[in-house]
Amino acid sequence: MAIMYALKSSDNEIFEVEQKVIEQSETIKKMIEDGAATGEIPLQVSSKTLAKVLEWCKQRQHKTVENENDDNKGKRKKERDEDDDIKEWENKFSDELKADKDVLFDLLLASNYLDLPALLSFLCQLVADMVAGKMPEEIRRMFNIENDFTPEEEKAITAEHGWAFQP
Amino acid sequence: MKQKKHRIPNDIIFGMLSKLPAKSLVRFKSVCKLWRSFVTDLRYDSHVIIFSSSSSIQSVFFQESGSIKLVPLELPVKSPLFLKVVGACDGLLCVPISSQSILWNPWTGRYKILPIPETWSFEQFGLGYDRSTNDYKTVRVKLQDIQIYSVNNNSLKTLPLPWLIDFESVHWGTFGISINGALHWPIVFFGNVKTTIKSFTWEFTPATLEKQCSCILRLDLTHQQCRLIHLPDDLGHQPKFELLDFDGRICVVHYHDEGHIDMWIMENLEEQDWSKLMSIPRLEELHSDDYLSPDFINKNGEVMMNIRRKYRNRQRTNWFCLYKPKKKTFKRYEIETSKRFYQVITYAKSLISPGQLLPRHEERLVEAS
Repeated sequence: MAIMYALKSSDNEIFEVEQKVIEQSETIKKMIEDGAATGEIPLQVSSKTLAKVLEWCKQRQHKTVENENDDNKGKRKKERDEDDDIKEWENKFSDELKADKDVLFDLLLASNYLDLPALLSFLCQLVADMVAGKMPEEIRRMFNIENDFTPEEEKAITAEHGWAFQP
Repeated sequence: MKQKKHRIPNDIIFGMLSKLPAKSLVRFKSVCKLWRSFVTDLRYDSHVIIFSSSSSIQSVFFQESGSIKLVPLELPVKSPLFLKVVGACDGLLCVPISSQSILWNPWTGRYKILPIPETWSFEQFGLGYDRSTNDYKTVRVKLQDIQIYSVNNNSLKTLPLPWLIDFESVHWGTFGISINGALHWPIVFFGNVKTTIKSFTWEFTPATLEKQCSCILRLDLTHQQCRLIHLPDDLGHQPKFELLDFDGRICVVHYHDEGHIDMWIMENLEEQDWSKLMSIPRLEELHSDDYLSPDFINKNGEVMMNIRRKYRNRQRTNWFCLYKPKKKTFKRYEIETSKRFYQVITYAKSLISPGQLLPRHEERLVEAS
């Protein structure tokens, strides 16, 4: 029987999860080890975002278990098929996030808070792919950043790196 | 439109920026002051290996699974008949193209044409950076003199060498290693000391070196000073060795005939003080004609090596090996390609664009400002 833990989202929803799945989060792992996690583990993450986090963790867990059961024979072929499956799953996961920027940003914050380096790195790449090729003004809107350059300063940067501002 | 306020922590922004392509990265310098400082401070410590075959250059990505992904780097100009990289420094490569050469940042795609003919590539070559003048310099070393070309000034200077030397490279297609504003080559010193030469300073007492022995030639680009560096005593008289950059220090790779490798680090340049970094045992599964050739040491202290064939230096390498000194294990990485590769070049990518570089496919020389 797998050990189960109950995670409580910031909006008081309970998620029952296997220990192995949630231990990918260094933050939760530490809470369990410290004995702070008796009963429900309260997290500063909304239920909508937490569901996404767990979706990711379960997929990763699944992948690790399968690799452990492999013998060497035919491993290459199997790895390639698995890689295709993971790619497909990741693409679907990415598409959903790209469609809802709020969820994506919340998930970024959650992966940072829960200390999930693989998810954080995946999301950083996703955001990087989304913003690559955009103009600075679009970036400021997207990240709610105020332009603190004077017009002269901004012009100087554009002039210095003209090549980078061409479409 | 209702917009939710997102306050993304700085380290996440930094992590995201480090995954951007060069053009976007440079463009985002104008988003705000914080982003500008992020981009300016961004350093890539990841070592990139590139392969050059006779007709193409490929960037090598090592996958966790043990496979290798090759991504072709598009030369900004028409490829020469035989492609050879003759220098690498700060993420820039020097590649001869018939009557000229290009100084090229493969990551940003920016390049500059240098009036350096292809024939230079037959000699020992090097690309280095002179901090005092913020200038990149290409250097050709012949038997008796050194020619230094300044990229900023578009000028050439010839300095006679005070000694007679010869080059001893273990592999074909190596060039001077650029470390802290100086270039380094493995050489054989013949002991013939010429009389005083004007316009050239050198600080070394050749009498302390025996005639005909192996050592390192170091050219300081700021002071235009040449000196010879002793090898660690343990290496013996005429060892097979080559040089690597280890975190800004000179690393000597000593190849033993029995197949194992010793790596030495220069602790103190003034006192020429060496310490042994590690020994890499012979890899049992290796064919007796093959040997391991270290390319770089990663931040975990592990050594990435490619496999070469003895006697035929131009033999293609089709696999790599990562040596983990703590566990004394080798992890194998294989390439699935039929291409023949001649050169393995290690460098760290950068956003550096020395002087006024041209954007891609704009083939004219820009006047130095």
